[in-house]
Amino acid sequence: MADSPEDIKKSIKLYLIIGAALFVGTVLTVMVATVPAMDIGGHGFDKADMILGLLIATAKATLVALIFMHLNHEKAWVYWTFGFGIFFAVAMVALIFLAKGDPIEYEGFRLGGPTSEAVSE
Amino acid sequence: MEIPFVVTPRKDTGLFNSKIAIWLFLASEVMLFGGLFSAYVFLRIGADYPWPERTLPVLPGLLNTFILIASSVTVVFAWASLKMRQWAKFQLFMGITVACAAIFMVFKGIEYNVKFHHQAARLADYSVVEGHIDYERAHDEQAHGDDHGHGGEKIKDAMGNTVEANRHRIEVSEVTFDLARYYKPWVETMLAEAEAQGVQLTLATGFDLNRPGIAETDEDKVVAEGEALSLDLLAKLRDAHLENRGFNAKKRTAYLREAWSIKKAEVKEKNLLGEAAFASEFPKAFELSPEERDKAYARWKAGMRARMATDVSIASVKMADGSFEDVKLKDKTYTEIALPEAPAVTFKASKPLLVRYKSHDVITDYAVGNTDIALRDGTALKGEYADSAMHFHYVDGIDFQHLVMIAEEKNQDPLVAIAESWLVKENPIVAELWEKHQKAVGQLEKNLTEHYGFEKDGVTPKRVPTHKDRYRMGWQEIAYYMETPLDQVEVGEGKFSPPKVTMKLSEHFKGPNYEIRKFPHIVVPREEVALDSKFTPKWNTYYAIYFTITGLHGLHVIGGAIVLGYYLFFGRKMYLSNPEWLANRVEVGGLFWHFVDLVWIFAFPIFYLM
Repeated sequence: MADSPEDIKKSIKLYLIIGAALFVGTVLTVMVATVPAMDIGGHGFDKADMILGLLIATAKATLVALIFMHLNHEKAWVYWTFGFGIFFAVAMVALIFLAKGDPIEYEGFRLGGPTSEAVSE
Repeated sequence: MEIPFVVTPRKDTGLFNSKIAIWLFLASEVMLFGGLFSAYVFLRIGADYPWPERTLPVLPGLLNTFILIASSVTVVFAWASLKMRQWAKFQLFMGITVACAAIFMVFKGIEYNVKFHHQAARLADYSVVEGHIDYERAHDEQAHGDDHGHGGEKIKDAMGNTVEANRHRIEVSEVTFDLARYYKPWVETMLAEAEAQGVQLTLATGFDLNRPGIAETDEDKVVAEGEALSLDLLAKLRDAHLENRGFNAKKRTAYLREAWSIKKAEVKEKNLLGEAAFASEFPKAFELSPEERDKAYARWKAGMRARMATDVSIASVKMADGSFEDVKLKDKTYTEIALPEAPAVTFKASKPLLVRYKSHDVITDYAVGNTDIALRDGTALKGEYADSAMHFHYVDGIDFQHLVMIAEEKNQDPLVAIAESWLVKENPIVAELWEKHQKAVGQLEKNLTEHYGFEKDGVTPKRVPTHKDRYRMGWQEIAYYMETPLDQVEVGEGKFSPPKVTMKLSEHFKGPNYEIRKFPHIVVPREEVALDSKFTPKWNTYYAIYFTITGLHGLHVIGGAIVLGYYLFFGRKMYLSNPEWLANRVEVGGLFWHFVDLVWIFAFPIFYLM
């Protein structure tokens, strides 16, 4: 563990690099969204932009968790506790996507599951 | 008492206690924000209107992201400084962290403030107008005014406040207050308006809420017809009404209990629910099979019980005018045991009294000729609507995306639907803007096709303008069209976006500077308005979830700053006695701070860029 003063001294540089990486990641996310030359997928915002944006965000979040929050060298207790929370958070979002594929026709779900015609076929 | 494991780790977990505590807390926080982000996904995929994509100004969000990242680095440095026993450096880095939190909240405050003052209205045809609402003015110059739309002097209401020109204005001839629910500040405003306009509001009917022989007579329960409206009078009536209502409720319960016990005794004595009673009423039931007979008997018993309950219960307690519905109760009726109640009282105006309410305070829909208007606090107004048009001093957004969505559902041509919309048909200035926008979008479409070409079929262009490009004119586009003649309209810089004016730095934060930009002035008659709101949760589910998540995140920033600030300003004593303990505390506070950063890392792209 990088908890002794000597180890911490060595880690300072790493913290700066990670901070810089987070800045770069943020600028990249904004550029992908606003600079036409970096616009992936179709013109303007679409699924491809969304996936890329969330991937960059996830990468940034991982860096913060691993380095700043020291999750790269923690005790098993911490992994179990935090993993428990992450599991349920992901499950909650996943449940919403299950609802999206629900064949019940409800006009609110415009981007939702199959249309009533498709169901009757 | 010495607290164990504040510095040394426990043998079983390998961690000091507060670290376990913070990770348990963070796990619950992950689930809390996970739930809110899943709500965002749910609202977005279920939205029945075009989801506002990339609608917030990016720069404030971007700077706030930088600020939080920087503070995440400095909080680690603050912890590292403590570990290396460098108090001055700890102070420096922790000071920067807390300052970052303050700057973050200032930016957030500016952003919220702009939303709270930015008006939007969805019209009956689903087109949307956004902008800066005017104030009511002394004479009708709102529609003309100078270059910036400034008209006559701003009017002040009787309370001395200027009034935004987006109110429901009603000339009231009669007002009925719900005594249990009336909202005192509204009554105060109404009284002030009545005084300013020389209108008398007097009680339409006198009351005597006493009933000799039932309860002691109280002079405060008597009011005469024609008494003038005052807060004291309403309070007196309310107290009398609530006292009588409480008295009646107790009486009712007591009589119901008595009536029930009598009925139960009768049922038992005469065996009214017994098989014999059933057999005498339905002799044919005994020709059925035993199973079916049992079922019929159970049904009959349930029906009998319900009928008996009706026999002994009190039918109604609604008595606005002192009349009661008779209820069978042993040998008495409810009239004989209850005190009069006055749930609502009506006052008449000597001449029409002009009052104003925000649209979310009026619960009845606006309709021409509607004379019965209900307010949120249960107050009922009788009267006529005065001119309640919405005066947009500066229109800085015109959005046809929702209108087009509805038109496409009906298989209508979107462009025809827009041409037929109230905004384009009735407002030459909007028609002109729309024509310029059409030209710019046409060029944009051409540029995209020329640059990116077609799909393999040779017909479908690889890239086309988005719905937002086509059907929404934001403030930068409108400002550009207002200063550019049609023949000079060009597609935006970089050739792949609609034309926009270049934002000044302050405009990134506060929105358009109305002093240097020209925007159209539009008066929207109230009958054209389907929904009007500031950019608050009422406007749509996007703003509802935006304020929920960013608001809760903001509270976390404040909470984290308070804890870290405490270590900064009050940590010296602990540092001198046990520096490792303070370092552990800062580590735990820092873990929370990183989590706050983590949430923002997702909130920023989701709300500002998607």
